[in-house]
Amino acid sequence: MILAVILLLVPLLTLALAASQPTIAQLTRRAAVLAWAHLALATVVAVPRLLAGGAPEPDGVCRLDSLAAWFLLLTLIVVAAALTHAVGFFDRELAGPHPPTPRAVRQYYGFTALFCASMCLVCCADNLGLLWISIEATTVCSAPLVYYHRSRTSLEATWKYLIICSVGIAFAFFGTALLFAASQQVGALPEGSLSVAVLADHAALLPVRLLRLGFLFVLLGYGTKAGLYPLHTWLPDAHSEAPAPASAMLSGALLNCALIGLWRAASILQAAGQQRFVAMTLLPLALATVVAASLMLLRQHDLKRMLAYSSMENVGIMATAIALFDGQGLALQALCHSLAKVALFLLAGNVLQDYGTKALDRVRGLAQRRPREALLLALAVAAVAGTPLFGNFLAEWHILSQAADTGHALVVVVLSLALAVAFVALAIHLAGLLLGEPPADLDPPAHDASRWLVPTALLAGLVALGVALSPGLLAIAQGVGQ
Amino acid sequence: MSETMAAFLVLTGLWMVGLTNLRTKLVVYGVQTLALDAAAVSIGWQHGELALIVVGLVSALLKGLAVPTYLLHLTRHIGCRRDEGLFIAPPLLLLLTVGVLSALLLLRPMHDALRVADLPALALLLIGMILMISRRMAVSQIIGFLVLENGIFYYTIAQPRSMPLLVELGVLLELLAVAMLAGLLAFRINDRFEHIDVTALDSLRD
Amino acid sequence: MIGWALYLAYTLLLPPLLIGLLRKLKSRLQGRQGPPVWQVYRDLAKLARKGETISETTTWVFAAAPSVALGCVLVCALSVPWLGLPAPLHGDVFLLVYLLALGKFAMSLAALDPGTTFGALGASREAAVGVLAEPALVLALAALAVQAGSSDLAVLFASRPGAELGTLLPLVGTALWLSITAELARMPVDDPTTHLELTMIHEALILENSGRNLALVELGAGIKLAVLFGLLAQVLLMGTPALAPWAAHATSLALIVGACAVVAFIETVMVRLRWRRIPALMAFGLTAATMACLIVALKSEAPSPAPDRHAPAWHRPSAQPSDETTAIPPQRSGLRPDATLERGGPARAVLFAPRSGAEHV
Repeated sequence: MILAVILLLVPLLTLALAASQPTIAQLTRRAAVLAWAHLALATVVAVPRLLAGGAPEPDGVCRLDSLAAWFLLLTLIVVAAALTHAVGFFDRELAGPHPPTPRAVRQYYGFTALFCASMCLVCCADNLGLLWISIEATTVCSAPLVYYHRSRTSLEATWKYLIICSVGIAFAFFGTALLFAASQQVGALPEGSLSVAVLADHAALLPVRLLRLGFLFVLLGYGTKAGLYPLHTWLPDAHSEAPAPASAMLSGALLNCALIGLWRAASILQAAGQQRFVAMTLLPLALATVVAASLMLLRQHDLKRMLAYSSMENVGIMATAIALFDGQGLALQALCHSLAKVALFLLAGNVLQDYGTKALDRVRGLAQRRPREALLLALAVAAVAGTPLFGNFLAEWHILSQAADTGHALVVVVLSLALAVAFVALAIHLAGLLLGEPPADLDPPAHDASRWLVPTALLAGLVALGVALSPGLLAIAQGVGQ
Repeated sequence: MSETMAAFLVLTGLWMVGLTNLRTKLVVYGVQTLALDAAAVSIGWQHGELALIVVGLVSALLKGLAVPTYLLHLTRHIGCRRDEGLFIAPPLLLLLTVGVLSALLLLRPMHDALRVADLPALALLLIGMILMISRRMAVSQIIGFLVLENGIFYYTIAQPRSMPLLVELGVLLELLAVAMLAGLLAFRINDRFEHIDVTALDSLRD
Repeated sequence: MIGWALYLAYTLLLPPLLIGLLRKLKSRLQGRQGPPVWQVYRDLAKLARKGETISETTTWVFAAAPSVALGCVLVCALSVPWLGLPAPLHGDVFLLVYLLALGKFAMSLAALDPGTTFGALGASREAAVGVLAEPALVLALAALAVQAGSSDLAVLFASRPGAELGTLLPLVGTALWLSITAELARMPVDDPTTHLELTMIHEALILENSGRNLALVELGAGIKLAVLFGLLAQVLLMGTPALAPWAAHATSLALIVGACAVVAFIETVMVRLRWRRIPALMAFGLTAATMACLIVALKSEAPSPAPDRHAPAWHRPSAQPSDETTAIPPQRSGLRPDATLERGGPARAVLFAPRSGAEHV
């Protein structure tokens, strides 16, 4: 019941708000309040589950196990942060040189609400069919967010996003159908089943070939959605063209959703004793993603595209965690990456509003112009690059040591090298951004706390995670992988 | 009857590969989908499965009638008749398609996983991919996607048990949403670029 | 002996009637009165009485070609069981295809012989269409031959693959229909009534023929139409249970007349395709035929012993991965509607797959 409220009622309220509020200012503020209420409600339900660990008896549709609770909370934190920052963001947009129409903003909020609802559903879905439907729904609901600017480039990004992800996910549905066909060959399940829990229970009886084939297609589908290497082409476009709060949600929450889909499918194969097959198929893709993303990072000319490739790199790391069945690493890495990347995208949105461009060679002297934001940006980049002091370092360390423990020496080598390259690339670009003289033709900076409040809070959380990653949190994350 | 239907589905798919008239292609797609839904309804009828009958009827209404009608309206509005921008001439493309479909022979080792009865589904899946890759018009890409989806739907109804009703209906709804959204975007692409050749969308790159 | 007499009588007497019927139907569909059904007999008789006009530059090839072509078609007519009755000669798929090609080759040579422009044009176009159409014909018949395990036409048409034909028939039927239309120079490949030499294919080929020579060509074309439509009728009959000879014969004749009606209808509602479009059409036929071969190839590789004796070999449930003795649920014969399998298990829930808690801990 509470689950249903969390999943649907709050987003529906936001939807109603978007349609009914007289002014945009009221809409953005109330939507932010609702997002926090949503998070509070979810905390009530999810925290007990996290503390208790394990999973409730499945009902074949939704199941709030530890993983679901963890990612549900994470998703809602990201949404709440993005919507809070969006208050100031839209105020500035409306005051800016190209103010959006009220209709565009209302549409934006309406689709954000649906997007949020579908992401929550992804986290909690136990039914593979429902999982597919909600992941596809995230595509449909977030495509209009990408199209927010109504420009030629945003049109291009939206088209690519919609078509590539829809086709990719169609393959995931075929994979789901194959897994369902596999379940029909188990005597105890005469009707077949789509429930992850039931399939995992009966995994030993599932026909192996059908299971593997199904996983391959699911990997192809959700891998596209997650941005794994050869299928990633939509990712930088969509992330760079969406407005800042939407980019933050795409990177901080949506990519996690696709990874949840992969994790659920992988867990069925794990139960069937097919760990080697999962590692054989997923690990090369994951490593290729990390390597390709870090190489692409070197030659970026666009701030938000750079961040998008950094997200892709992190997706590769998380996919490695999935391939190693390291639930703890996945949970920690997802948490730390999401917090840092949300802060980064929000700050990048500020830069874009401030300088009127996101071309890396035209943004100069941020440290001189806005010292506080420059510091935050530097810290957030350091966090994403995996510098000690932040949680990201611990999470990546965890995954690397896990790989080393399980004898994947090559994985350790490749990952470390790619991380080093990414670190250098990010540092070079960041230096260009912060140093130098700001362009003379810009307006004098106005002081506005809404520009840095949310990123500060997120970074504080990251530092807290990094400095004192409490044994309690580690234990909870440990429970997520069970 | 459903075997005949399977052959009919593959035939219409191949026909679409060779077609260069966008509107005829949409009509053929509609006929294909209606045939597929008729197969679903007939299987559901024979086995007393209400779910399949409902899914078949809803799908006929949405995918077989609403989507092609909408896309026909779109092409009429945009004034795009010919499915231009083929990378390869249709006859050669058809032969290439046969070559690709022959790759299904490689699935021999999978005989315990995939039945021969599932092959039309795989063939339609591949044909959908080929339709998407070989064409540059936005609308034909949507058609390719829908044909691909038809293949998957055929797979689900050819199984001993089809998917639960809510899942199938949800999938249908998503498809409708994707088709509508892509159609709207095609309108916008036409407004902005004065054609719907999606290969012109190439300004975002690294 | 009766077979010989019957086949010869039909071969020589039926085709003009069919062509007359086709023309009549077409006229009526187009709102015209049209010539009487018997007109073709009169035309042939008239042509046979008339003298010939032969170019001085021709050689014996031009004079002999129509006879050779007619001979090829006659052998086809006597070796293909196109009437639904056993044919007097033993026909073979490949023999049929080669005879058709030989006839066309002879006619093309004859068209080149006088050295006129249109003859050469027609010959080259006819050859091009033939090259495009023949593979489809061969592959479609080959698919059936592999299915039946013999390329002997009598054996092939006597086989009754039953349910497995369901997938093949639409594919083979489409391929055959397209290649037969091309072979007969009918729409949408060619327009038999065109008066514009530039657009002609088959008509340009026989532009130089006149008198008795032309009568032979026309008779040959008529026989070819009857035999090929008869062949198509036999393929369609494979989908039915085995019939008594007279019933098969009557159905064949009805199907042949039906095919003529379809041609008349198509030629009323369609126009000839542009020359550039023809390769796509023929490639479509070829693709359909190849699909048919592919399906036959795949079916023949499916292991035969089926765990479920109700299901045909290629529609068996998948083998279990291990030696676990789990019960295999009865298959819903999704591709075999005539089978009445009882449905196992409890009534199927229509919502999300249910899960009874007792089964799982």
